[in-house]
Amino acid sequence: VSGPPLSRRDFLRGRAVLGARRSEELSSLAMAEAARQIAARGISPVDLMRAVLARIERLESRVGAFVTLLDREQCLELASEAEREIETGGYRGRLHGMPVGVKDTHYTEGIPTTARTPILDDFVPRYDATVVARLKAAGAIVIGKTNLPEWSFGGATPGTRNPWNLELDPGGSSGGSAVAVAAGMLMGATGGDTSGSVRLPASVCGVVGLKPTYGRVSRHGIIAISWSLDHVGPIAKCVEDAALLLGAIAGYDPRDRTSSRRAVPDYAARLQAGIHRWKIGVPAPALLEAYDRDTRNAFYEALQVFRDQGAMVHEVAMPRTFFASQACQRIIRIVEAAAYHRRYLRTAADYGPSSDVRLQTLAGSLLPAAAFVRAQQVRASFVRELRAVFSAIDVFVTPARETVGPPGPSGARPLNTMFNLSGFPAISIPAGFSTDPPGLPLGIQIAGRPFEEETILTAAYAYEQATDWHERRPEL
Amino acid sequence: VSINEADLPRVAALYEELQQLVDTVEFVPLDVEEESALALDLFAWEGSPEGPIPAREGDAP
Repeated sequence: VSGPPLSRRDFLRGRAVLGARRSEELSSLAMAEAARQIAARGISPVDLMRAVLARIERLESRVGAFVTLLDREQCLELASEAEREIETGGYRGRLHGMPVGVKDTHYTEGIPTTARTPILDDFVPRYDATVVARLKAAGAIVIGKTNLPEWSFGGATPGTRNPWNLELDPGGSSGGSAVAVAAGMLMGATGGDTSGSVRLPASVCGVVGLKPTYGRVSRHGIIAISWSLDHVGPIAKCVEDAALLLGAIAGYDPRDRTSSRRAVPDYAARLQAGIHRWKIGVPAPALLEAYDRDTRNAFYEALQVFRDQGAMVHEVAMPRTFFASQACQRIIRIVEAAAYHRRYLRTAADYGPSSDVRLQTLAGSLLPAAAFVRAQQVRASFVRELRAVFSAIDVFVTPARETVGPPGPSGARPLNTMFNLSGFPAISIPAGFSTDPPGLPLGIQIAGRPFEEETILTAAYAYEQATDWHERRPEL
Repeated sequence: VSINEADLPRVAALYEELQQLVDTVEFVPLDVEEESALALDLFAWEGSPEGPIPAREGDAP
């Protein structure tokens, strides 16, 4: 080392710079890696919390990911508690001490839950949603409620900016969760998916979004859009993190009578099983004609990655009723939403001035009951036919979204919404970057049979290990 | 549920969009067996689990 010794001031400034860099490194770690370091006593939950809080303090004013945040002292106190618990032999697993967030549709005891509507401005739940309770039981620290469009309606998140291009929307409706994870402001998060609202913003923001099988994750304490289409799922920096989060929140809940009694496997345990000789179904090119060229190219390049690992890729014929699946999904969604919103529509409640949720649900309440029944009949037929399609394949892979840019208010496409209608699980993962316009994350979607989340996670992990898209972070 | 006079044009436009969806769904040919297979437990994969009714106290207003 040459040159004069550092002055005391420069030495201190150097330490400060080093400290900031270390903090940035910690906030960019995947949760699984942070958990390994915590278990090895390389870092503490307090270090991690400080890093995440520094990131929030620096970026929140620019990206607007949160509706509500715990105050700094409270966050550090909870992290200290986690640290003490771990030091005294009370390690609860890999979520212990992880700062996480939940969409502001999740009931949080003593913390406002607004669904971003003026109607719920003063609503403070007296209990936690089951998902929130399970995250806490796993040792995670819920530090914030993430942003969404009013009542989760729509594929955009007003007030939240895309971390890859601050001029753009991040997609929705779980946009706040996706942005906070992508920007290193949370180690993981959860969102809701009725028409792709976990998978799409995750894809737009270059992170992982998983919609589990209907019934796999409790909806108790989650503000609804549509009871039979709503799913709650994790948004994470990588597939392993998504597996860890899903493992924490999945499972039977007597307070959600649609939840499944099936045992919850260790989703992270079999990620490395590989996909040799797996049968991967894909849609015919005609179904992707309207998709942007970059999204199609990323998809076809991803298929080659699967082939390189020994998988067999072939086109599958879609169910006979596929052409009507999105119409079914939209009818069922708006009619169930209208039923949910009757309590507010009847009283001329104060919906937000810039959204048309009130008008949409009014229109939905005018649809004849016969139309709803017909949609449910076609839905039942579609699900049966889709089961037949999946009997011949292990997973079904598509582009994660149609457009390079954010999908817009009604951006979900049939290849996304078919898995809300059917309840089958689907995950979106990063799969490249656009060229036109340049630098926006692209993604693929991998779907599987009901309750085969392990299968789609294994396929997603195999792809992830062969690529490095998930390691790219936005420069903020 | 009543609709304000001022909201009628927009609600009518939204309803028109929904009606197109209904037309699409009506166009799907279903045989008698498929029509009668509509089940209330579409998603109860393993039958209806028993459990206490969710508490309502503290739900959203």
